[in-house]
Amino acid sequence: MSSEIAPAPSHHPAPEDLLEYATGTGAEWLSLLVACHLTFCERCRREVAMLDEVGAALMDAAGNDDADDAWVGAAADDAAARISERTTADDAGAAGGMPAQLAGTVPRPLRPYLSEPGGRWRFLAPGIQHVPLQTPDDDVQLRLIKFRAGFVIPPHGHEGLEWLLILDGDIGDSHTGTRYGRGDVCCSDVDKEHSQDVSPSEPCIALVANLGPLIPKTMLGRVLAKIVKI
Amino acid sequence: MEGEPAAKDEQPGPGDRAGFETLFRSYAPRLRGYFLRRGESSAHAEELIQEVMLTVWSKAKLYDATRAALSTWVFTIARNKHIDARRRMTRPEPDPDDPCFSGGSEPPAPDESARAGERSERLRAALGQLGEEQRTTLEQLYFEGRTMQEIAHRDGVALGTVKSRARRGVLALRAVLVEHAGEDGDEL
Repeated sequence: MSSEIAPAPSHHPAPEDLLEYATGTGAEWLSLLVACHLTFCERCRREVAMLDEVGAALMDAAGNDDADDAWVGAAADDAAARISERTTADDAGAAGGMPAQLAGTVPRPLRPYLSEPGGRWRFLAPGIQHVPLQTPDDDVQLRLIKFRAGFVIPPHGHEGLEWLLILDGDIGDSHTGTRYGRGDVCCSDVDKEHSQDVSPSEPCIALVANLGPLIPKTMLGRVLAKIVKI
Repeated sequence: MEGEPAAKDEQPGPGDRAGFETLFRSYAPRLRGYFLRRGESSAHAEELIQEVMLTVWSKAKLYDATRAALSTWVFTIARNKHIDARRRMTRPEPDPDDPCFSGGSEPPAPDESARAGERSERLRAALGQLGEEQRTTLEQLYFEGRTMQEIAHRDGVALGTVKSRARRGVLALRAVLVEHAGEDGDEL
């Protein structure tokens, strides 16, 4: 796919999204989307690294809690005794297979969220396939969506925020008048009516989070919304 | 890192028990403060500290002193442990070995690493000069683990106000780093 030196993303998460990610206060779905964007975006990785520095400085400045020296000594001994048993056991983790058809397109942070290891594309509506993802945040629907080349999403609004992270191909948004490519974040706010169009030359794969149902604005859109149930 | 050796001398390494104890003594009180403020019980905080320090130790080979101050690395491990424990999930993070990973893995400018300790020093100084509202907003985010929405609710202000306080606070801190980073700092 389009994995030759792709241009760096030019549409980024909002500064407060990065801050919520760095402080660990963001919802899980948001952290996941940010982590996926970071996979593509050096600029935001630097920004998060800087925010981590701020966290460390705050931790240092908040300084020492009533450091009970006896406890520290005992705990250090205890931990030291556990070092040897731990060192080997810790390295296992990473495995977990990515379906061949998704590897190279789907960033690794998404792996644990594929409901089934096979993560196959399923029919959602004509021209749209999806892979539903698990998320513990109840109010969010998270999935991978593949639009066929040239697909046009008819005008619609949203009852809640919609986040798109483009993983392959590109998509244009009528509201912002911008095209979004690999690694770009396209965030549609509540009530902003828009239509979207996939480039005619290749399909577009996006990670999509919806925080509320879609409000179709046309008959075609209503039919589509019914089928898709977003 | 008050009264500690510079970052590059802090490189932890397995098999050095005395080194581990030094490291533990240096970080345990700070970590304890961090976890207590995040709302953990004293007992659980102690458990988490052990987890963090064991991770620091066992992953010492992954720590790259040229990329971050040790305290920054320890902070990220502590934050992740806390998230993992509270949500029973693994915090999503980009993986440099991911075939999707693009861009450099940002090796810093040659002399930037040597200044990691100096950078945190400057950051701490700048923190002291932040406006009260900006500082407490950042503290609530980083320490108390409140979302911006929760902070807005608690402080009785609009969400937009919290966002702008946090944003301005971060910008002020970043300015301090960039100002001193010379020509290498334009990216920040």
